[in-house]
Amino acid sequence: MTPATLHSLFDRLFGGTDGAGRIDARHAAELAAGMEHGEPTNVELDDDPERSTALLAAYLDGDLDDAVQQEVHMRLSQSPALLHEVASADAFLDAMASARVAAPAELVATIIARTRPATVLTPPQGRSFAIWKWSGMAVALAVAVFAVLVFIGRQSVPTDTSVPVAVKSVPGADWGEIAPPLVTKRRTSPKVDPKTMEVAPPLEPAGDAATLPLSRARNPAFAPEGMDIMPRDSVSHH
Amino acid sequence: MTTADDRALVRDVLDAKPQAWDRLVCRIADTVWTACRLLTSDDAEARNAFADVIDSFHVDGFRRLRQYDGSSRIETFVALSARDILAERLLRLFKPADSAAKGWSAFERFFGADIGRIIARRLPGADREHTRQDAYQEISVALISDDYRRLKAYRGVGSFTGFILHVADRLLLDFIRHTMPNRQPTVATALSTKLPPSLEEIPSDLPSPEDALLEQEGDRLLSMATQVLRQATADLTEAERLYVHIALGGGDPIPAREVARLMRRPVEEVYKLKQRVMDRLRASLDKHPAVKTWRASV
Repeated sequence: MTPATLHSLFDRLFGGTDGAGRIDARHAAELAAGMEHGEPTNVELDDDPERSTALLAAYLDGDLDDAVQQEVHMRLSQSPALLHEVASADAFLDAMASARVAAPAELVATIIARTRPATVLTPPQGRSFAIWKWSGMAVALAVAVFAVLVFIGRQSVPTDTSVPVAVKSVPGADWGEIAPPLVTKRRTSPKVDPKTMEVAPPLEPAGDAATLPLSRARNPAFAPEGMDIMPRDSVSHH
Repeated sequence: MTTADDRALVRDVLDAKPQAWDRLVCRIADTVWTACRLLTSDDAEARNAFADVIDSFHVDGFRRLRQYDGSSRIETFVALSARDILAERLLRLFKPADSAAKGWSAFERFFGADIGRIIARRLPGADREHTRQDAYQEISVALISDDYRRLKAYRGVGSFTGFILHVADRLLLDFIRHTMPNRQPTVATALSTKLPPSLEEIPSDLPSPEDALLEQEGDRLLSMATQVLRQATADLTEAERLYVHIALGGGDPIPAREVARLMRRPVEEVYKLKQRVMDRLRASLDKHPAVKTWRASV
């Protein structure tokens, strides 16, 4: 090797025109190995490794602005592995373009069916508590209303206020005696004759005293369980 | 579809909109399938690979898909992602010892073309076909040796593909340095190897004293050239330094259009870049103290 060889080597390696001829492979290899000495073996294209593929794709598509491309150039010049990666990816995209084939339809359908995300039945996390809370309150309110209605319903059963709600059995009475059915007198508003404006006498049930229910004749005797139980009088005596 | 449409489709998938995933898979299926066919050995293996790639886009809340920001075509992003996923899948084949043979077959399918391209770049010329084959064998044996020690040395930093190709290139450089002489044969040596050997004059494999001196001189000069180059490139811009690295990857001057393609810059700009680099290197070469001393000594 002579000084002229060294100049020639540099000229041909870095300034050679296309088709200028072969470079001594050993010389080029020695220089390449010497330049790589001490360089980092493997670095990422992006500080965030997850972003490297997207950045590489943008670089190869030529869609980066100058500042980002300069950053990529800096990393490529620092890492031979990264430079190999870019060259390989570039060649791969070329091969993809020339060998493009359609995916088998039945394979695509199978994969879609297997990987399709499940239908979302539950709302997002932030709303679930509110929905549970309001639905719980609605149920509680419904139960409360129902209970009130039941209570009011029981309280509003038409009763004869002259009749005690619960009647204690007459001392000495036989517990075997069945209380008569409870018949209450209907509350009716006094009717006014529109012509005379006189108050009409209340209507009396049809029939005579013999046909009146027993309750009207005497106080009914209830079973000790309470007023919901059929009065003893409604059951025939033995 | 435009890039904006693709970005919107990916957003729909991330937002779990109905049918978005189905539409996305249909959109990328051909790209993924082509990648799988290129990087696997047969149809059955390609089908498994296809399922793995689609799964990889789907898992961890679409982690990979989330990276698509519309700064590239979705085909490019998906093709490169599929290549990454298949490379990771390949790496897993080498973990259990019993699947290493299958792993090597898949490895060759995946990296064979790239390794061949690197060898062809460093050892160009029709007359070197046998040397290239020897180099490929040498690299393969080195990668297999010690239970795939070199492959298993990957620690997950940077791309697995880049790591493997860098290892292969280093092995190739070693092969070239150990098998190719650091000088052109002298006229006397060339003639002696062409003469039919007589019984009394069998040529020795050892270099002559003159050849040994030339070898030493060549090594010293190359060492000096490396120093000059390292020092000179430290002052270059990022683009100029990258140009130097690209140029060092070949045994022939790399055509400007190839450099332009790798750098994603216009060819005209690369010609100017080349001129600037040469001016800087010539100046550095002439001013370097070691070169001055060496010039004075010859």
